[in-house]
Amino acid sequence: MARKLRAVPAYAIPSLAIVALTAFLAFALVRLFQVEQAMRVNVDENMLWVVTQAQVASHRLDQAVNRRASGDSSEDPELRLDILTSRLTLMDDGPQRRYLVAEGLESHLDDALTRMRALRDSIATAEDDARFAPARLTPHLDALMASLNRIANTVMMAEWESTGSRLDTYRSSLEQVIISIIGIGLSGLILVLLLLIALRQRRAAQRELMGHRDRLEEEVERHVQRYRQAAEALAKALDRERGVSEFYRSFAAMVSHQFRTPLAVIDSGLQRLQRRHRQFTPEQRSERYTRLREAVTQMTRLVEASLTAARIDGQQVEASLGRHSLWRIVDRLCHLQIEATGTQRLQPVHGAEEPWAWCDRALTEQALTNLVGNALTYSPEDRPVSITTAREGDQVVCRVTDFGPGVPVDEQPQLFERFFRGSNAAGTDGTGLGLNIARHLARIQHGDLTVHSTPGEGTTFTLWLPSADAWENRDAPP
Amino acid sequence: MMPIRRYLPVAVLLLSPLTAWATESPLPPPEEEVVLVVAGDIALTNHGDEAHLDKQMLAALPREQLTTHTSVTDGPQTFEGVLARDLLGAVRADGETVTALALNDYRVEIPTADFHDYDVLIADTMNGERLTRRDKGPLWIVYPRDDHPQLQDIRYDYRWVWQLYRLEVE
Repeated sequence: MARKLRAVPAYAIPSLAIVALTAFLAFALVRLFQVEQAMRVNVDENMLWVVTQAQVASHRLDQAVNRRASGDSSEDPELRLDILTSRLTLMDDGPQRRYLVAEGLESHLDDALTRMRALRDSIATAEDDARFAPARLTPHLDALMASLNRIANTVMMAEWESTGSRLDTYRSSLEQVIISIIGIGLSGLILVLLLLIALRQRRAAQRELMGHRDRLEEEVERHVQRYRQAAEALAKALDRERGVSEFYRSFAAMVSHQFRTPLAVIDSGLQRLQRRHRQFTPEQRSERYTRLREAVTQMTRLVEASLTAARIDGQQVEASLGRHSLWRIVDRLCHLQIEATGTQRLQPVHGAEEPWAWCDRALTEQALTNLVGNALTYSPEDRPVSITTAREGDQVVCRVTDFGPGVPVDEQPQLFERFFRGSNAAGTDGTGLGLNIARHLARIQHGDLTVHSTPGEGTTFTLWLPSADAWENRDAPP
Repeated sequence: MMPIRRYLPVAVLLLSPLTAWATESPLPPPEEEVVLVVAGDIALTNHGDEAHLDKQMLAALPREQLTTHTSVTDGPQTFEGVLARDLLGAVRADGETVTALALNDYRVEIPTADFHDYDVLIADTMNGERLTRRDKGPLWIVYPRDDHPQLQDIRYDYRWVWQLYRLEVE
């Protein structure tokens, strides 16, 4: 109901303006048409001419009668009377008579007509020149001329009155038309204003609509973002679950494949010790125990390496990256190695510029530990193992070089495969997991591990890591 | 169609009594009272430079009828007479204007174009009665006012000459 009430004025104003405009226009047109019609009708203007011509005809008749009387035979009073008759007949005709009657001149007109007929009778009843005797005609003629004079006088005044009042009518009509035109202008102005207001309202409504749309889009975007985050969290959780299950699967596989042999070795060694306990000398027993302990140690290493490999497989290893100096990592590593094994073979070499890596310190240490351990294991005990660090372009490198037998060229492609053991490694303890793990650890940190080996000369493993400067200055962080 | 249309005026000319009249050059003298004098640029004459026409001679021209209102009478009036252009053709008039003179000394110049544009009548009867000089006779130039709105104009009204007795072609 309220809405209906509000809608009424909104439509009423333009409708009213249109109606007013139409009404003003129609009124102005009607008035102009009336003026045009009024200007065409001018019987009265012609009337003065008609009356004066009748007067002229009466004077011409008078003149003709008098001249004829004075002997001028060229004059034709009969023709003059006919002309006068025709003039009076015209005045007696419909429109002219009505005009004169309206002006109160009927008696004068009738009097003039009576005198005219008397003149005709007078001429008709006489013979020859007596017909036009002034004495008989002049009294009638004088009376007729007096009537015409009176008529002319009144008609003149009536025409001036009529002209004056017609001008009044024109003026008032024109004033009305001018007012109508002003009305038309005002109505038009109102319509234009309404149009402008409507246009502005429409623009505002459009703007508001667009604002609504934008807000809606933002809202939708926010919801989508939230759902996406939820989906990502779910996916991550799923990945984690998958990783955990992969970890168990991988670990179980490694245990089932790799642990049997050392366990069998330990088992058979223990059986032999059990059976031949008495036959062995204490030295022999001690040697067997040492070998068994080494086997257990090897198994422990295998378990640890397997756990690490399984964690990598299950994506359970996450790198917490930061800015770390390779010098410090290498120095600490050497220090730990020396403390643990007492070796003197490690030769760290640092360049002029301190290489800052973007890496996970613990993972990098583990990878390098694997490389250094391998180098110490697979090179003669009297040869050193060199560890150099450097910055190369956008990356920093750590090279671990041994001077051992090297890796045969045909084996190098498989070197990083899991449980691959080179032909040179026979007779040494190894899990077959170290290099594989080291490369994975490098790759988790956006780096890599490569090998360069020359059989008979030695092997160099290069650990590549992103330089901290280059990583921090990247355009788009990960 | 075109050839017929082209030769139609010629055919009409040959068949009309006007042609017979026109070929009897010069114009025969009037036998009765002269009702209209045509002077000026005319080829056929019978009285000096003028053509004097009597009722009989006018009656020889094609008669036309015209019903129209006038500015000085009530209601429609039926006029009869000859077309002005027929009359001027009969005396081989050649001019731009015709000065019409009336017995009451009224005179007005009428462009001859009027007679070609409209069927202007030189009437001698109104409503079947012969016009006399006591009324608007003997002849009255009548325009077909009702047929053409542009003729309902005071500038045409003054060309309605009554008591016509003389035409001067220029």
